[in-house]
Amino acid sequence: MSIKRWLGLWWACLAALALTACAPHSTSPSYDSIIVNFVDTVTPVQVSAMAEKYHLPLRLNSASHYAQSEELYQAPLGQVATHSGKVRQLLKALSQEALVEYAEPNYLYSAAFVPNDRLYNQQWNMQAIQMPPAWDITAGEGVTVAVIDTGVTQVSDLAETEFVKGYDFVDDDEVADDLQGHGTHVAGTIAQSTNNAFGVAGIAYRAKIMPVRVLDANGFGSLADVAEGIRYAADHGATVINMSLGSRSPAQLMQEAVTYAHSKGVTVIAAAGNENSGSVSYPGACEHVIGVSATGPDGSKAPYSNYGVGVDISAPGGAKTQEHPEWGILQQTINRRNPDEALFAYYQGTSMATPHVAGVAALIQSQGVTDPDQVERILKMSATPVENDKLNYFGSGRLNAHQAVLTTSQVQDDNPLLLWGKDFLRYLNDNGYLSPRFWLDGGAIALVPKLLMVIGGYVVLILIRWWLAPKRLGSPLPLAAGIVLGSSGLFVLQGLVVTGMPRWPLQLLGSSVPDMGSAFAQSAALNPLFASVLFPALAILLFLGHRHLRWAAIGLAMGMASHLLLSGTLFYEGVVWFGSGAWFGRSFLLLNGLFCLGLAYTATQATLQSRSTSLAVSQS
Amino acid sequence: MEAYVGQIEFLDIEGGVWVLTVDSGRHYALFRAPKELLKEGLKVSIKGQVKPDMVTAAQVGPVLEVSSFTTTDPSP
Repeated sequence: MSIKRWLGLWWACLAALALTACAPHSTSPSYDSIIVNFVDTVTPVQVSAMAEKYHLPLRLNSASHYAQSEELYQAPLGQVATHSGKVRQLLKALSQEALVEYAEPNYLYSAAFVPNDRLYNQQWNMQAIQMPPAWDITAGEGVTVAVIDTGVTQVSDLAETEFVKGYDFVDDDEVADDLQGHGTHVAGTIAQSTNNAFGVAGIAYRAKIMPVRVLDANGFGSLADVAEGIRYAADHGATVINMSLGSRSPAQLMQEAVTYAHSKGVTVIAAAGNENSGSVSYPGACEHVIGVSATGPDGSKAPYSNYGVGVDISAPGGAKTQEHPEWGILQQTINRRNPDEALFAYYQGTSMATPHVAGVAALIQSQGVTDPDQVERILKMSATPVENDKLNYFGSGRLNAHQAVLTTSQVQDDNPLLLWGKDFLRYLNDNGYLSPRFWLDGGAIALVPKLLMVIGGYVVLILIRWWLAPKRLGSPLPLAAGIVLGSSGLFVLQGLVVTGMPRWPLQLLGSSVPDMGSAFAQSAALNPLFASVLFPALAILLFLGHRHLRWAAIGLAMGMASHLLLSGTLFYEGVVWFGSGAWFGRSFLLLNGLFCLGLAYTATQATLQSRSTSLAVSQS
Repeated sequence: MEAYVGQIEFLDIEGGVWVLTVDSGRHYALFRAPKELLKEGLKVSIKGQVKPDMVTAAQVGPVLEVSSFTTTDPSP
């Protein structure tokens, strides 16, 4: 696994270098002034001083209350605007000022484009991903998106959308019309005919749709057809593949097809699945696939959406309720009971979230960035991050179309070689190579508590040694193993994902004894059977007579003392079966932590005594 | 062939999908289900086979290919 990862990494960095060096220049928005947002407490005198320092005629952006309360200023650039390098330096210097929240180019918009589609105002999802200002820059011209699904029917609100020839792997012919409704809805999110005074809008409405039918009229299909569909799309000019579908099985066949598409420069995006579970379905969880979880109108994880390892980004998928069907995603599709009839329908699912990301990927590609790793990187670095996302509901964050196209423009404007050095680190970081999140379970394992618990285990060891006079304790290796097992477990293992291998062995191996009771529960609450003095007590009873194993048992008690005392105080996450009252759970953990401490002390004392007795006996 | 016991439900996910919800709360997507089976709230025991090599649009859980079924509660 690690060798493969590192090879992939080096390959990617070489490819990134080659591609950034020869990336074509493309559409990037123009600007002739900059925006400077000062901290809210700035005084007019400070603003004047700043204006003088940088020779900038700063003035309030507008007379609006917003501009005044936010201290939003703008300044024309004059001649400087023609040297983008100088502007960058200026913005950088300004951004580093303590009084400045941010400084950025004031891109010229002819008032953000608002499509005239009649039902556009019901598409909350387009606002959620900041679509209108992105449309000012691109609408996905020149990109082909393959929709591998139930087929796509060119309904009335797809009439102006360009289609390319696709294939029907269910019936083995070239007519890939939809008999179910799912694929047409998905295609609508990507490229519904937009600004046609009818129906709804699509994200990359100037992109071309390639319908690839692999699911039958009931939405079922075979892994083999999906794999063939992926290869077909990659061989016939699609550069984005949208797969709003999934299976529980991590088939090698599917991974190979995806790797093939990736090697041909195709960005592959797939749904995380709708079981509200911590295991993302395939191909969403495959390597080289951008896995997408779903959010509702309030931006929180949709109740049905899967999460965890494999989720790279989140996007609107809708969260309908009985009272609010409009909290779903509205597109035109066909009536499932009568495929000849078109209708506008609110759907919800990670399948609806996926085409949002595919659409934005098409926008990025239309700006000239085509390498799939780079497209993925831009999608991730432009996403709005979500704080404290312990279970990886959101991946890198919430999809943001506007930031994505702006980031693409900036990537294109920058000096490719300088960019590479800077972005390579960022690439490492965004892909998680630098962050513990890559090595750990989607951020589900908090690193700091784990480390503190191991350290705590050693503090217990040092204390006991100090109390019991400076004698050398026996068997350092079993002792250390016991401390680790009791305090943190080999938690790094939990983050490893080996395609094709079930997750539970690593999950179990990676857990400390107190965590084992809830290792599979996707919950941080502890199980009182495991998070108690029970196991170290049993271990000491069983192994006290053994020369080496007794030190492992004592180490276990030391490690668990640290774990339980810290869990009961700083890192309390609840105890299962104990209800919601925290005091009982905390007291239980603290009490058991103290028991473990006492146990470790007594057992060490007993062992040292028996050793000195036996030494005395043998000497006499 | 294994028997799966639970209740039939229509979930409003991905445009709608018929599932068997078993006691643990897990959903099985019903493949090749006869029309008589697809009634909201019907309590049934389904004889069938889970198909791991199948892909779905709904992605709500494992695919259960229905061979036969019996109702376990005649009231609904």
